[in-house]
Amino acid sequence: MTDRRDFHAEELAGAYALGALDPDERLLVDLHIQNCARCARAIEEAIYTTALLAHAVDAAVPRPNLEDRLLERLGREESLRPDVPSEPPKSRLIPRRALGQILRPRLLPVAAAVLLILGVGTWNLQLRAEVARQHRIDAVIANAEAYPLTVVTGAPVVRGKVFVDYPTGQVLLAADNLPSLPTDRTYQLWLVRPDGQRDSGGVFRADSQGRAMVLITAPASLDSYVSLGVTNEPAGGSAGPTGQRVINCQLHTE
Amino acid sequence: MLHWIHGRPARSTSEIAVATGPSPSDHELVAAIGRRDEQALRLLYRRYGGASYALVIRIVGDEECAEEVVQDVFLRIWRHAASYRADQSSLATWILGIARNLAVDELRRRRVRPVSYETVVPADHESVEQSDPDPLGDPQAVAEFSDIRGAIRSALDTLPGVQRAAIELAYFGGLSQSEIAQVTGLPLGTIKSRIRFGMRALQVALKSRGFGPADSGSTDD
Repeated sequence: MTDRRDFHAEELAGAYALGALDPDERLLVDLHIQNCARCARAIEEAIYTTALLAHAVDAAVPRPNLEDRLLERLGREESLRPDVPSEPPKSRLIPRRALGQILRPRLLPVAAAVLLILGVGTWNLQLRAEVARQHRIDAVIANAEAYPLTVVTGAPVVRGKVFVDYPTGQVLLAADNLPSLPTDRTYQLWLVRPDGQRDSGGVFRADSQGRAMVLITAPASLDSYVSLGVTNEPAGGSAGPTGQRVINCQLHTE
Repeated sequence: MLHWIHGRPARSTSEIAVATGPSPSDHELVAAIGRRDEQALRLLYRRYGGASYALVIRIVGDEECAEEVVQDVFLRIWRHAASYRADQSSLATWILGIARNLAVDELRRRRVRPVSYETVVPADHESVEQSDPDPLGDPQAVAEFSDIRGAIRSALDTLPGVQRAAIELAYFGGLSQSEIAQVTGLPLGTIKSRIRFGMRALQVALKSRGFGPADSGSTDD
């Protein structure tokens, strides 16, 4: 177990910029700064500072022929590269120009205004929801017990941690390197009781980089569960696990 | 800035050189590399090859390996010149960032030398510079690098030695905080504190020397 009571992404900015965080910590920071401008700014400043360290080294001189060797290698590797297709495949049913001619004269100004109003309103609501969610995540990380993921035989190695806040019943799964799924599949989180019974913790999808941050409230007291798992299920989820398990985490370990 | 030759933009660095003299700007060189101009890559190498090599050999500690990595750096620039964003960093920062990442990747892959405190952090930080600092580059680039080097080093000199050592083990040694704790035999918490406070102190020292990111003006959640 790891005590995470002092987690603040801002405090990890220097180590983050130096590439000195362990993968779990880096993942948490990456996810945190998506919704925290202050910490993102701290990271940005630390990255700037770190970049300057490159200038601190003693001057050194490569052999004079390195320039020619570079150009020779460039010539060799370029000659081996396949030609890039000149044009992307065309698959639109309606040519873009024709669609534009249909829409532009009458509908476009109205549509743009409607989209703008809806877009701003939706964005505002989404932003508030994201900020609120981020505060909940920060609170869980600050107070929770953290457990490492264990290797699942035959499954890709997923990195991450599970944070369990026993008093509030909240569970946070932070995972990286999750395989991408087809649209008709989803990941489903399970909380496992000592007798093997599984309670669903909901379904989720990873982002384009294979990352996911899932925050749930356990359906029963967290002391009722001995482990957490994630399986690959049909879209919408299943009543019980049916697909391949990709994540396993033992709770209450010392 | 574009250079126009007979009513059209200059197509190659040789044309730029005819139009402006021997020193096309960084922006012009990157644009020319994007148009597959090998001469532009050659000129860029002459400008930044020395600095890249100096950084890479400090990290990998082996001449042949360093030269391979430097080639990798400039081949990556050749293939990804379009991804350079002048509004996000200077070209030198971008190139040296690539160099550092590739060098650390190589270091981790090959482990060309055992990781120890002494190999990453020299005993004497005031080690003697070579008398001919960079015969490769154009004089202006060499002078600029020399000025920046002096400022960065003086900022580093303001740090307590233990903080500086932890930062250098991470940056030049490619070590995580956990690995630094193992190498030094110190508690992980101690290493974390040294890096955290050392980086903050370094930021302050650099800002006082005129090095700081542009202020975005927003610090709230």
